[in-house]
Amino acid sequence: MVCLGFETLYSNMTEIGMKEFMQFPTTCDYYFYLKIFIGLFIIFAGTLYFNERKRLGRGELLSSMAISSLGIILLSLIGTVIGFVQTDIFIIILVAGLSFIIIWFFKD
Amino acid sequence: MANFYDMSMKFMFIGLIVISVFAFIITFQNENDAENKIIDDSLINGTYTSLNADLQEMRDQAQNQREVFELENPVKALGYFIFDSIITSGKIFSNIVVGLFNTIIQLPVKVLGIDPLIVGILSSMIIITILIGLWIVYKVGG
Repeated sequence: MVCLGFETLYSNMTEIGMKEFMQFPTTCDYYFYLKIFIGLFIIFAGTLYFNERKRLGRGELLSSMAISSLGIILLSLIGTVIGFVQTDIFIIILVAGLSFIIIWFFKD
Repeated sequence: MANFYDMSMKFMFIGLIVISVFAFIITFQNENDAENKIIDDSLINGTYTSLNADLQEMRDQAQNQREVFELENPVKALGYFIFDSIITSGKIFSNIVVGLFNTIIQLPVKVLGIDPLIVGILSSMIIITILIGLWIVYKVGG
């Protein structure tokens, strides 16, 4: 795997905007943002689940995961508008997130 | 498990949720001039169009079935009322539920690479649930 340096990829540093800066990690690892969003999903779901367990004495992991996936879908949607999240990565996030929501809906 | 009414309602709500999420994403991307739009993807475009058609058909069929039900005169038999329209409604809505399932399941199958065997088992479970649920509806309604 060849990863170009930031200064090599963008020789004219004055033309670098938010999009180019955010896109830079994907030049080296195509699934970089997918991994980041999976990490965020685990953090969100875990936080919701353990908070619920602390407050109510019992938690529901599936509902925490479904709510977190809604948040992750929204965050990645903003990423597609800025331009650093690729469409196919967004589709994977969307379908996985919707799957959690549908399973949660069917659970009862 | 074999409650036909609950299952069809859940499928309708799921169809509604999926189409609402798609519509929100498409509008959001269009209004903010996103470079790569989700609607350009053939799978998402196809699913969105099919879902639209399925839900449209569901609305039309519900309207038709209501009219048929209102026109029908119930026949008394052994302490029950017989309604043929209940049986027709059951058949039509079971087709719509299976159609919605087939449309929605395309997404995880193609994007996440779910094994067709799992999809086959899931669809068998749904068909058996529909059959038992319909039998209960027929028993009560006809």
